[in-house]
Amino acid sequence: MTELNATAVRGGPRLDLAGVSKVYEDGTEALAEVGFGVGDGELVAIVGPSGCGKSTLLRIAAGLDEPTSGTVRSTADRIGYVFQDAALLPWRSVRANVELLMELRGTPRAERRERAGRALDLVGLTAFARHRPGALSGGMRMRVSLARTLADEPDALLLDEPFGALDEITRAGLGDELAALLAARPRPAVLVTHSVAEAVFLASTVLVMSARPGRVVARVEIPFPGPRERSLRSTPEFAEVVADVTGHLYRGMAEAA
Amino acid sequence: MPLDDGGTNARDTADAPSRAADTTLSRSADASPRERSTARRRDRFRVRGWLPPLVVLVLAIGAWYGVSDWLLSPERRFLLPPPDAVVRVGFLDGENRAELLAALGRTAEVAGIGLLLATVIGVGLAVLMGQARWIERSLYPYAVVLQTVPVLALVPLLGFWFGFGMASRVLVCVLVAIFPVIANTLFGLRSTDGTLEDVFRLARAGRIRRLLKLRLPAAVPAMVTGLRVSAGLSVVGAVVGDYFYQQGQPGLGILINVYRARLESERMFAAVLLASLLGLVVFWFFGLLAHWAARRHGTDGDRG
Repeated sequence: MTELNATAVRGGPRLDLAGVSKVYEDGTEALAEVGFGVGDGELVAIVGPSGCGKSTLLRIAAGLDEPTSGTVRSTADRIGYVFQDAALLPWRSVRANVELLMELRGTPRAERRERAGRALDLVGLTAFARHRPGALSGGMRMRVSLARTLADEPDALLLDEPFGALDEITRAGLGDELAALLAARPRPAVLVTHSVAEAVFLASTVLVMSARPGRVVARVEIPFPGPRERSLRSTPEFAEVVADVTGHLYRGMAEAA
Repeated sequence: MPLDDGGTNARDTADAPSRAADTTLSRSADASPRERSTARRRDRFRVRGWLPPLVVLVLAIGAWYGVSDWLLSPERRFLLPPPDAVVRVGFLDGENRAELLAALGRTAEVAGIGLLLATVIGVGLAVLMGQARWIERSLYPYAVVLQTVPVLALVPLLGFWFGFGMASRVLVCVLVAIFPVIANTLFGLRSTDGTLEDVFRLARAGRIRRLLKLRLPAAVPAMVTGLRVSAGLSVVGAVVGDYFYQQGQPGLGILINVYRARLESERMFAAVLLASLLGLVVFWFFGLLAHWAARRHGTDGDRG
Protein backbone atom coordinates (compact mmCIF):
# COMPACT_ATOMS: atom_id res chain seq x y z
CA MET A 1 0.00 0.00 0.00
CA THR A 2 2.97 2.29 0.48
CA GLU A 3 3.45 4.39 -2.61
CA LEU A 4 6.39 6.50 -3.47
CA ASN A 5 5.56 9.64 -5.32
CA ALA A 6 7.27 12.79 -6.42
CA THR A 7 6.30 15.03 -3.53
CA ALA A 8 9.78 14.60 -2.12
CA VAL A 9 10.71 17.33 -4.56
CA ARG A 10 8.57 19.84 -2.66
CA GLY A 11 10.11 19.90 0.76
CA GLY A 12 10.89 16.93 2.96
CA PRO A 13 9.21 13.57 3.32
CA ARG A 14 5.54 13.28 4.26
CA LEU A 15 3.30 10.56 5.51
CA ASP A 16 -0.43 10.70 4.74
CA LEU A 17 -3.18 8.32 5.70
CA ALA A 18 -6.69 8.74 4.33
CA GLY A 19 -9.87 6.86 5.19
CA VAL A 20 -7.99 3.96 6.72
CA SER A 21 -10.25 1.19 8.06
CA LYS A 22 -9.29 -2.18 9.38
CA VAL A 23 -11.66 -5.09 9.87
CA TYR A 24 -10.15 -8.34 11.08
CA GLU A 25 -11.10 -11.69 9.61
CA ASP A 26 -13.28 -12.47 12.61
CA GLY A 27 -15.29 -9.33 11.88
CA THR A 28 -13.79 -7.17 14.62
CA GLU A 29 -13.71 -3.57 13.49
CA ALA A 30 -10.44 -2.09 14.69
CA LEU A 31 -10.27 1.19 12.81
CA ALA A 32 -12.94 3.23 11.05
CA GLU A 33 -12.03 5.90 8.52
CA VAL A 34 -8.94 7.30 10.14
CA GLY A 35 -6.92 9.91 8.31
CA PHE A 36 -4.11 12.28 9.13
CA GLY A 37 -0.98 13.74 7.59
CA VAL A 38 2.45 14.39 9.01
CA GLY A 39 4.88 16.76 7.38
CA ASP A 40 8.56 17.19 7.85
CA GLY A 41 9.46 18.24 11.37
CA GLU A 42 5.95 17.57 12.65
CA LEU A 43 5.10 15.11 15.35
CA VAL A 44 1.60 13.73 15.52
CA ALA A 45 0.77 12.05 18.79
CA ILE A 46 -2.09 9.57 18.96
CA VAL A 47 -3.78 9.01 22.30
CA GLY A 48 -6.74 6.80 23.02
CA PRO A 49 -8.03 4.11 25.34
CA SER A 50 -6.32 0.74 25.10
CA GLY A 51 -7.66 -1.45 22.36
CA CYS A 52 -8.64 1.49 20.13
CA GLY A 53 -6.36 0.33 17.34
CA LYS A 54 -3.55 2.84 17.87
CA SER A 55 -0.85 0.23 17.33
CA THR A 56 -2.68 -1.24 14.35
CA LEU A 57 -2.82 2.23 12.83
CA LEU A 58 0.92 2.66 13.27
CA ARG A 59 1.61 -0.77 11.78
CA ILE A 60 -0.51 0.15 8.78
CA ALA A 61 1.38 3.43 8.42
CA ALA A 62 4.65 1.45 8.40
CA GLY A 63 3.39 -1.10 5.88
CA LEU A 64 3.56 -3.95 8.41
CA ASP A 65 -0.21 -4.42 8.13
CA GLU A 66 -2.60 -3.86 5.23
CA PRO A 67 -5.63 -1.63 5.73
CA THR A 68 -8.98 -3.16 4.75
CA SER A 69 -9.73 0.07 2.94
CA GLY A 70 -8.13 3.48 2.65
CA THR A 71 -4.75 4.63 1.47
CA VAL A 72 -1.33 5.20 2.89
CA ARG A 73 0.92 7.56 1.00
CA SER A 74 4.47 7.91 2.08
CA THR A 75 7.42 9.66 0.56
CA ALA A 76 9.67 8.24 3.21
CA ASP A 77 11.96 5.57 1.87
CA ARG A 78 13.26 4.40 5.23
CA ILE A 79 10.80 4.14 8.04
CA GLY A 80 12.18 4.02 11.54
CA TYR A 81 9.93 2.12 13.91
CA VAL A 82 10.40 1.95 17.65
CA PHE A 83 8.37 -0.86 19.18
CA GLN A 84 6.82 -1.17 22.62
CA ASP A 85 9.60 -3.45 23.72
CA ALA A 86 13.21 -2.89 22.84
CA ALA A 87 13.33 -5.99 20.57
CA LEU A 88 17.10 -6.39 20.73
CA LEU A 89 19.09 -9.45 19.73
CA PRO A 90 20.29 -10.82 23.09
CA TRP A 91 23.37 -12.49 21.62
CA ARG A 92 24.72 -9.26 20.18
CA SER A 93 26.51 -6.50 22.01
CA VAL A 94 24.82 -3.13 22.34
CA ARG A 95 26.97 -1.77 19.53
CA ALA A 96 26.23 -4.69 17.22
CA ASN A 97 22.53 -4.23 17.93
CA VAL A 98 22.73 -0.57 16.99
CA GLU A 99 24.47 -1.58 13.76
CA LEU A 100 21.83 -4.19 12.87
CA LEU A 101 19.58 -2.17 10.56
CA MET A 102 22.53 -0.68 8.70
CA GLU A 103 24.00 -4.16 8.37
CA LEU A 104 20.75 -5.44 6.89
CA ARG A 105 20.74 -2.59 4.40
CA GLY A 106 24.32 -3.29 3.39
CA THR A 107 25.99 -0.18 4.79
CA PRO A 108 29.80 -0.55 4.71
CA ARG A 109 31.40 -1.52 8.00
CA ALA A 110 33.37 1.68 8.60
CA GLU A 111 30.31 3.85 8.13
CA ARG A 112 28.28 1.52 10.36
CA ARG A 113 30.82 1.86 13.15
CA GLU A 114 30.84 5.62 12.89
CA ARG A 115 27.06 6.07 12.81
CA ALA A 116 26.52 3.57 15.62
CA GLY A 117 29.09 5.41 17.69
CA ARG A 118 27.28 8.70 17.15
CA ALA A 119 23.86 7.22 17.94
CA LEU A 120 25.17 5.65 21.15
CA ASP A 121 26.64 8.99 22.09
CA LEU A 122 23.28 10.66 21.51
CA VAL A 123 21.47 8.31 23.88
CA GLY A 124 24.35 8.36 26.35
CA LEU A 125 25.27 4.68 26.19
CA THR A 126 28.79 4.81 24.76
CA ALA A 127 30.17 3.28 27.94
CA PHE A 128 27.89 0.27 27.47
CA ALA A 129 28.69 -0.42 23.81
CA ARG A 130 30.27 -3.79 24.59
CA HIS A 131 27.62 -4.97 27.04
CA ARG A 132 24.91 -7.44 26.17
CA PRO A 133 21.32 -6.16 26.35
CA GLY A 134 20.70 -8.64 29.18
CA ALA A 135 23.05 -6.62 31.37
CA LEU A 136 21.09 -3.38 30.91
CA SER A 137 18.04 -1.97 32.65
CA GLY A 138 14.73 -1.63 30.80
CA GLY A 139 15.21 2.09 30.21
CA MET A 140 18.71 1.56 28.84
CA ARG A 141 17.48 -1.17 26.51
CA MET A 142 14.83 1.19 25.18
CA ARG A 143 17.56 3.75 24.53
CA VAL A 144 19.53 1.11 22.60
CA SER A 145 16.42 0.47 20.54
CA LEU A 146 16.09 4.20 19.89
CA ALA A 147 19.78 4.41 18.96
CA ARG A 148 19.35 1.50 16.53
CA THR A 149 16.51 3.35 14.80
CA LEU A 150 18.33 6.70 14.75
CA ALA A 151 21.58 5.22 13.43
CA ASP A 152 19.61 3.94 10.43
CA GLU A 153 18.81 7.60 9.62
CA PRO A 154 15.16 7.03 8.79
CA ASP A 155 13.11 9.54 6.77
CA ALA A 156 10.15 9.09 9.08
CA LEU A 157 9.86 7.96 12.66
CA LEU A 158 7.04 5.85 14.08
CA LEU A 159 7.01 5.27 17.81
CA ASP A 160 4.62 2.75 19.35
CA GLU A 161 4.40 3.49 23.09
CA PRO A 162 8.16 3.35 23.24
CA PHE A 163 8.31 4.31 26.89
CA GLY A 164 5.15 2.54 27.99
CA ALA A 165 6.86 -0.05 30.14
CA LEU A 166 9.10 2.42 31.96
CA ASP A 167 8.72 4.29 35.21
CA GLU A 168 7.65 7.93 35.22
CA ILE A 169 11.11 9.46 35.74
CA THR A 170 12.93 7.38 33.11
CA ARG A 171 10.06 8.07 30.80
CA ALA A 172 10.22 11.86 31.20
CA GLY A 173 13.98 11.73 30.70
CA LEU A 174 13.64 9.76 27.47
CA GLY A 175 10.87 12.13 26.35
CA ASP A 176 13.25 15.07 26.77
CA GLU A 177 15.90 13.20 24.79
CA LEU A 178 13.46 12.42 22.01
CA ALA A 179 12.35 16.07 21.79
CA ALA A 180 15.97 17.17 21.50
CA LEU A 181 16.73 14.54 18.86
CA LEU A 182 13.78 15.53 16.72
CA ALA A 183 14.66 19.20 17.04
CA ALA A 184 18.22 18.44 15.93
CA ARG A 185 17.11 16.53 12.85
CA PRO A 186 13.51 17.18 11.84
CA ARG A 187 11.47 14.50 10.12
CA PRO A 188 7.86 13.42 10.18
CA ALA A 189 7.10 11.46 13.33
CA VAL A 190 4.10 9.66 14.76
CA LEU A 191 3.95 8.77 18.44
CA VAL A 192 1.41 6.40 19.90
CA THR A 193 1.13 6.81 23.63
CA HIS A 194 -1.29 6.44 26.50
CA SER A 195 0.21 9.36 28.39
CA VAL A 196 -1.57 12.60 27.55
CA ALA A 197 1.21 14.69 29.12
CA GLU A 198 3.81 12.94 27.00
CA ALA A 199 1.72 13.52 23.89
CA VAL A 200 1.24 17.22 24.62
CA PHE A 201 4.89 17.76 25.49
CA LEU A 202 6.26 16.13 22.34
CA ALA A 203 3.64 16.70 19.64
CA SER A 204 2.74 19.47 17.26
CA THR A 205 -0.70 17.85 16.87
CA VAL A 206 -2.49 15.42 19.15
CA LEU A 207 -5.14 13.10 17.73
CA VAL A 208 -7.61 11.70 20.23
CA MET A 209 -9.13 8.36 19.30
CA SER A 210 -12.28 6.69 20.57
CA ALA A 211 -12.58 3.12 21.73
CA ARG A 212 -13.15 0.32 19.20
CA PRO A 213 -13.67 0.86 16.40
CA GLY A 214 -10.99 3.52 16.57
CA ARG A 215 -11.99 6.86 15.09
CA VAL A 216 -10.38 10.26 15.42
CA VAL A 217 -12.71 12.20 17.76
CA ALA A 218 -10.59 15.29 18.24
CA ARG A 219 -7.58 16.97 16.74
CA VAL A 220 -5.75 19.34 19.04
CA GLU A 221 -3.05 21.64 17.72
CA ILE A 222 -0.44 22.21 20.41
CA PRO A 223 0.41 25.91 20.67
CA PHE A 224 3.88 25.66 22.19
CA PRO A 225 6.78 26.42 19.84
CA GLY A 226 9.68 23.97 19.73
CA PRO A 227 12.23 23.16 20.95
CA ARG A 228 10.44 22.73 24.25
CA GLU A 229 12.15 22.91 27.58
CA ARG A 230 11.54 20.52 30.41
CA SER A 231 10.17 23.40 32.50
CA LEU A 232 7.18 23.61 30.14
CA ARG A 233 5.71 20.56 31.85
CA SER A 234 5.06 22.55 35.03
CA THR A 235 3.42 25.64 33.49
CA PRO A 236 -0.34 26.30 33.86
CA GLU A 237 -0.67 26.63 30.06
CA PHE A 238 0.66 23.10 29.66
CA ALA A 239 -1.75 21.81 32.29
CA GLU A 240 -4.62 23.52 30.46
CA VAL A 241 -3.85 21.80 27.14
CA VAL A 242 -3.45 18.46 28.92
CA ALA A 243 -6.84 18.96 30.55
CA ASP A 244 -8.37 19.81 27.17
CA VAL A 245 -7.00 16.65 25.53
CA THR A 246 -8.00 14.53 28.53
CA GLY A 247 -11.54 15.94 28.24
CA HIS A 248 -11.73 14.82 24.60
CA LEU A 249 -10.39 11.42 25.60
CA TYR A 250 -13.11 10.90 28.23
CA ARG A 251 -15.83 12.12 25.89
CA GLY A 252 -14.60 9.68 23.25
CA MET A 253 -14.76 6.84 25.74
CA ALA A 254 -18.25 7.87 26.93
CA GLU A 255 -19.54 7.92 23.34
CA ALA A 256 -18.30 4.45 22.69
CA ALA A 257 -19.76 3.06 25.92
CA MET B 1 22.63 -33.90 40.79
CA PRO B 2 26.25 -32.65 40.60
CA LEU B 3 25.55 -31.73 37.01
CA ASP B 4 22.62 -29.59 38.03
CA ASP B 5 24.75 -27.90 40.60
CA GLY B 6 27.34 -27.10 37.97
CA GLY B 7 24.50 -25.50 36.06
CA THR B 8 23.43 -23.27 38.91
CA ASN B 9 26.98 -22.10 39.35
CA ALA B 10 27.47 -21.35 35.70
CA ARG B 11 24.30 -19.31 35.73
CA ASP B 12 25.42 -17.48 38.83
CA THR B 13 28.67 -16.42 37.26
CA ALA B 14 26.91 -15.45 34.07
CA ASP B 15 24.64 -13.21 36.11
CA ALA B 16 27.54 -11.50 37.75
CA PRO B 17 28.30 -8.99 34.96
CA SER B 18 24.67 -7.92 34.80
CA ARG B 19 24.57 -7.44 38.52
CA ALA B 20 27.83 -5.54 38.38
CA ALA B 21 26.45 -3.28 35.67
CA ASP B 22 23.36 -2.54 37.73
CA THR B 23 25.32 -1.66 40.79
CA THR B 24 27.67 0.70 39.00
CA LEU B 25 24.58 2.50 37.82
CA SER B 26 22.60 2.79 40.96
CA ARG B 27 24.56 2.18 44.11
CA SER B 28 28.19 1.35 43.76
CA ALA B 29 28.65 1.92 47.48
CA ASP B 30 27.05 -1.30 48.67
CA ALA B 31 28.24 -3.46 45.78
CA SER B 32 30.99 -5.28 47.63
CA PRO B 33 29.07 -6.69 50.64
CA ARG B 34 26.39 -7.85 48.25
CA GLU B 35 28.88 -9.66 46.08
CA ARG B 36 30.60 -11.19 49.06
CA SER B 37 27.37 -12.69 50.34
CA THR B 38 26.66 -14.10 46.89
CA ALA B 39 30.07 -15.74 46.84
CA ARG B 40 29.49 -17.28 50.24
CA ARG B 41 26.11 -18.54 49.17
CA ARG B 42 27.69 -20.09 46.10
CA ASP B 43 30.31 -21.95 48.15
CA ARG B 44 27.73 -23.38 50.47
CA PHE B 45 25.71 -24.38 47.45
CA ARG B 46 28.61 -26.26 45.92
CA VAL B 47 29.06 -28.44 49.00
CA ARG B 48 25.35 -29.01 49.32
CA GLY B 49 25.20 -29.94 45.65
CA TRP B 50 28.00 -32.49 45.64
CA LEU B 51 27.49 -34.11 49.00
CA PRO B 52 24.12 -35.88 48.60
CA PRO B 53 24.96 -37.75 45.38
CA LEU B 54 28.31 -38.70 46.88
CA VAL B 55 26.51 -40.22 49.87
CA VAL B 56 24.23 -42.13 47.50
CA LEU B 57 27.27 -43.41 45.57
CA VAL B 58 28.91 -44.68 48.76
CA LEU B 59 25.65 -46.34 49.81
CA ALA B 60 25.25 -47.95 46.38
CA ILE B 61 28.77 -49.38 46.44
CA GLY B 62 28.11 -50.61 49.98
CA ALA B 63 24.93 -52.33 48.83
CA TRP B 64 26.82 -53.85 45.90
CA TYR B 65 29.40 -55.34 48.31
CA GLY B 66 26.58 -56.45 50.56
CA VAL B 67 24.85 -58.38 47.78
CA SER B 68 27.95 -60.03 46.28
CA ASP B 69 29.73 -60.84 49.56
CA TRP B 70 26.86 -61.81 51.84
CA LEU B 71 23.81 -62.52 49.77
CA LEU B 72 25.39 -64.57 46.98
CA SER B 73 27.08 -67.85 47.72
CA PRO B 74 30.65 -68.08 46.27
CA GLU B 75 29.57 -70.32 43.36
CA ARG B 76 26.86 -67.83 42.37
CA ARG B 77 29.03 -64.75 42.92
CA PHE B 78 29.58 -64.41 39.14
CA LEU B 79 26.09 -62.89 38.95
CA LEU B 80 27.43 -59.81 40.71
CA PRO B 81 31.17 -59.81 41.27
CA PRO B 82 32.27 -57.35 43.99
CA PRO B 83 33.52 -53.92 42.82
CA ASP B 84 37.18 -54.57 43.67
CA ALA B 85 37.16 -57.76 41.55
CA VAL B 86 35.69 -55.82 38.62
CA VAL B 87 38.36 -53.15 38.95
CA ARG B 88 41.16 -55.69 39.43
CA VAL B 89 40.25 -57.97 36.53
CA GLY B 90 38.80 -55.38 34.18
CA PHE B 91 41.03 -52.36 34.63
CA LEU B 92 44.23 -53.31 36.44
CA ASP B 93 45.06 -56.24 34.18
CA GLY B 94 47.00 -54.62 31.31
CA GLU B 95 45.74 -56.85 28.52
CA ASN B 96 42.09 -56.61 29.53
CA ARG B 97 42.37 -52.87 29.97
CA ALA B 98 43.88 -52.43 26.50
CA GLU B 99 41.08 -54.48 24.95
CA LEU B 100 38.41 -52.54 26.79
CA LEU B 101 39.88 -49.12 26.04
CA ALA B 102 40.28 -49.96 22.35
CA ALA B 103 36.63 -51.02 22.28
CA LEU B 104 35.63 -47.86 24.13
CA GLY B 105 37.51 -45.80 21.56
CA ARG B 106 35.68 -47.47 18.69
CA THR B 107 32.28 -47.12 20.31
CA ALA B 108 33.01 -43.45 21.03
CA GLU B 109 34.09 -43.01 17.42
CA VAL B 110 30.89 -44.56 16.08
CA ALA B 111 28.81 -42.46 18.46
CA GLY B 112 30.74 -39.32 17.52
CA ILE B 113 30.40 -39.81 13.76
CA GLY B 114 26.75 -40.74 14.21
CA LEU B 115 26.06 -37.65 16.27
CA LEU B 116 27.87 -35.42 13.82
CA LEU B 117 25.86 -36.79 10.91
CA ALA B 118 22.63 -36.59 12.91
CA THR B 119 23.38 -32.95 13.75
CA VAL B 120 24.26 -31.90 10.22
CA ILE B 121 21.32 -33.74 8.61
CA GLY B 122 18.92 -32.85 11.44
CA VAL B 123 19.68 -29.13 11.43
CA GLY B 124 19.54 -29.13 7.63
CA LEU B 125 16.12 -30.80 7.62
CA ALA B 126 14.84 -28.47 10.35
CA VAL B 127 15.99 -25.39 8.43
CA LEU B 128 14.29 -26.77 5.33
CA MET B 129 11.06 -27.38 7.27
CA GLY B 130 11.35 -23.93 8.82
CA GLN B 131 11.17 -22.34 5.39
CA ALA B 132 7.51 -23.06 4.77
CA ARG B 133 4.61 -24.69 6.53
CA TRP B 134 3.93 -27.00 3.60
CA ILE B 135 7.45 -28.41 3.72
CA GLU B 136 7.10 -28.96 7.44
CA ARG B 137 3.72 -30.64 6.97
CA SER B 138 5.20 -32.93 4.29
CA LEU B 139 8.32 -33.97 6.17
CA TYR B 140 7.66 -33.75 9.89
CA PRO B 141 5.37 -36.80 10.11
CA TYR B 142 8.21 -38.95 8.77
CA ALA B 143 10.61 -37.55 11.32
CA VAL B 144 8.10 -38.62 13.97
CA VAL B 145 7.80 -42.06 12.33
CA LEU B 146 11.57 -42.35 12.55
CA GLN B 147 11.25 -41.77 16.25
CA THR B 148 8.43 -44.25 16.79
CA VAL B 149 9.64 -47.14 14.65
CA PRO B 150 11.59 -49.48 16.93
CA VAL B 151 15.08 -49.24 15.56
CA LEU B 152 15.82 -52.77 16.75
CA ALA B 153 13.30 -53.99 14.20
CA LEU B 154 15.22 -52.24 11.46
CA VAL B 155 18.57 -53.63 12.56
CA PRO B 156 18.54 -56.80 10.44
CA LEU B 157 17.28 -54.83 7.45
CA LEU B 158 20.06 -52.28 7.72
CA GLY B 159 22.57 -55.12 8.02
CA PHE B 160 21.16 -56.61 4.83
CA TRP B 161 21.58 -53.37 2.93
CA PHE B 162 24.70 -51.81 4.35
CA GLY B 163 26.63 -54.77 5.69
CA PHE B 164 27.32 -55.79 9.25
CA GLY B 165 30.17 -53.35 9.87
CA MET B 166 30.92 -49.74 10.57
CA ALA B 167 28.43 -48.18 8.11
CA SER B 168 25.45 -49.87 9.70
CA ARG B 169 26.61 -49.02 13.22
CA VAL B 170 26.85 -45.35 12.35
CA LEU B 171 23.50 -45.47 10.60
CA VAL B 172 21.80 -46.88 13.70
CA CYS B 173 23.29 -43.99 15.68
CA VAL B 174 21.96 -41.46 13.22
CA LEU B 175 18.49 -43.02 13.19
CA VAL B 176 18.31 -43.09 16.96
CA ALA B 177 19.78 -39.63 17.52
CA ILE B 178 18.35 -37.46 14.77
CA PHE B 179 14.84 -36.72 16.01
CA PRO B 180 15.69 -34.52 19.01
CA VAL B 181 17.96 -32.43 16.79
CA ILE B 182 15.18 -31.93 14.23
CA ALA B 183 12.44 -31.25 16.76
CA ASN B 184 14.44 -28.85 18.92
CA THR B 185 15.99 -26.94 16.05
CA LEU B 186 12.60 -26.52 14.43
CA PHE B 187 11.13 -25.33 17.72
CA GLY B 188 14.01 -22.88 18.10
CA LEU B 189 13.60 -21.56 14.56
CA ARG B 190 9.89 -21.07 15.14
CA SER B 191 10.23 -19.37 18.49
CA THR B 192 11.74 -16.09 17.31
CA ASP B 193 10.16 -12.98 18.72
CA GLY B 194 7.45 -11.51 16.45
CA THR B 195 8.63 -7.96 17.01
CA LEU B 196 12.14 -8.89 15.93
CA GLU B 197 10.68 -10.39 12.77
CA ASP B 198 9.01 -7.02 12.18
CA VAL B 199 12.32 -5.21 12.72
CA PHE B 200 13.86 -7.38 10.00
CA ARG B 201 10.86 -6.90 7.70
CA LEU B 202 11.04 -3.13 8.00
CA ALA B 203 14.72 -3.25 7.03
CA ARG B 204 13.61 -5.35 4.02
CA ALA B 205 15.85 -8.23 5.04
CA GLY B 206 15.54 -11.26 2.77
CA ARG B 207 14.91 -14.86 3.73
CA ILE B 208 18.57 -15.82 3.94
CA ARG B 209 19.54 -12.84 6.06
CA ARG B 210 16.62 -13.46 8.37
CA LEU B 211 17.69 -17.06 8.74
CA LEU B 212 21.35 -16.30 9.35
CA LYS B 213 21.05 -13.22 11.51
CA LEU B 214 17.85 -13.91 13.40
CA ARG B 215 16.39 -17.40 13.31
CA LEU B 216 19.46 -19.59 13.48
CA PRO B 217 21.15 -17.64 16.27
CA ALA B 218 17.84 -17.53 18.14
CA ALA B 219 17.57 -21.31 17.77
CA VAL B 220 21.00 -22.05 19.22
CA PRO B 221 19.92 -22.75 22.83
CA ALA B 222 17.14 -25.09 21.69
CA MET B 223 19.56 -26.76 19.28
CA VAL B 224 22.07 -27.40 22.03
CA THR B 225 19.34 -28.86 24.23
CA GLY B 226 18.44 -31.23 21.41
CA LEU B 227 22.09 -32.06 20.89
CA ARG B 228 22.42 -32.99 24.55
CA VAL B 229 19.59 -35.51 24.28
CA SER B 230 20.85 -36.79 20.94
CA ALA B 231 24.37 -37.28 22.26
CA GLY B 232 23.10 -39.64 24.94
CA LEU B 233 20.98 -41.50 22.39
CA SER B 234 23.92 -41.71 20.04
CA VAL B 235 25.93 -43.60 22.67
CA VAL B 236 23.01 -45.98 23.10
CA GLY B 237 22.86 -46.36 19.33
CA ALA B 238 26.57 -47.12 19.13
CA VAL B 239 26.39 -49.84 21.79
CA VAL B 240 23.29 -51.36 20.21
CA GLY B 241 24.94 -51.20 16.79
CA ASP B 242 28.02 -52.99 18.16
CA TYR B 243 25.84 -55.64 19.58
CA PHE B 244 24.30 -56.58 16.26
CA TYR B 245 26.88 -55.70 13.65
CA GLN B 246 29.85 -57.70 14.73
CA GLN B 247 32.02 -57.43 11.65
CA GLY B 248 35.31 -55.62 12.08
CA GLN B 249 37.00 -54.47 15.26
CA PRO B 250 34.86 -54.96 18.37
CA GLY B 251 33.24 -52.09 20.22
CA LEU B 252 31.96 -52.22 23.79
CA GLY B 253 28.67 -53.85 22.75
CA ILE B 254 30.45 -56.77 21.15
CA LEU B 255 32.74 -57.22 24.17
CA ILE B 256 29.75 -57.22 26.53
CA ASN B 257 28.16 -59.91 24.41
CA VAL B 258 31.34 -62.00 24.19
CA TYR B 259 32.10 -61.78 27.93
CA ARG B 260 28.51 -62.68 28.72
CA ALA B 261 28.77 -65.78 26.55
CA ARG B 262 31.98 -66.77 28.31
CA LEU B 263 30.58 -66.01 31.75
CA GLU B 264 33.50 -63.66 32.36
CA SER B 265 31.39 -61.50 34.57
CA GLU B 266 34.14 -59.24 35.97
CA ARG B 267 35.16 -58.20 32.48
CA MET B 268 31.53 -57.87 31.44
CA PHE B 269 30.85 -55.56 34.36
CA ALA B 270 33.93 -53.53 33.50
CA ALA B 271 32.67 -53.11 29.94
CA VAL B 272 29.20 -52.15 31.17
CA LEU B 273 30.73 -49.62 33.54
CA LEU B 274 32.79 -48.11 30.73
CA ALA B 275 29.75 -47.83 28.48
CA SER B 276 27.82 -46.10 31.28
CA LEU B 277 30.75 -43.82 31.95
CA LEU B 278 30.92 -42.87 28.28
CA GLY B 279 27.24 -41.90 28.42
CA LEU B 280 27.81 -39.83 31.58
CA VAL B 281 30.83 -38.02 30.17
CA VAL B 282 28.94 -37.20 26.99
CA PHE B 283 25.96 -35.92 28.98
CA TRP B 284 28.20 -33.83 31.21
CA PHE B 285 30.15 -32.45 28.27
CA PHE B 286 27.03 -31.35 26.46
CA GLY B 287 25.65 -29.88 29.66
CA LEU B 288 28.73 -27.67 29.86
CA LEU B 289 28.35 -26.85 26.20
CA ALA B 290 24.74 -25.82 26.80
CA HIS B 291 25.72 -23.42 29.58
CA TRP B 292 28.55 -22.02 27.55
CA ALA B 293 26.21 -21.48 24.61
CA ALA B 294 23.58 -19.84 26.80
CA ARG B 295 26.15 -17.45 28.20
CA ARG B 296 27.51 -16.54 24.79
CA HIS B 297 23.98 -16.24 23.57
CA GLY B 298 23.14 -13.64 26.19
CA THR B 299 19.88 -15.33 27.12
CA ASP B 300 21.25 -16.53 30.41
CA GLY B 301 21.00 -13.31 32.35
CA ASP B 302 17.89 -11.38 33.22
CA ARG B 303 16.03 -10.23 30.13
CA GLY B 304 13.07 -8.67 31.94
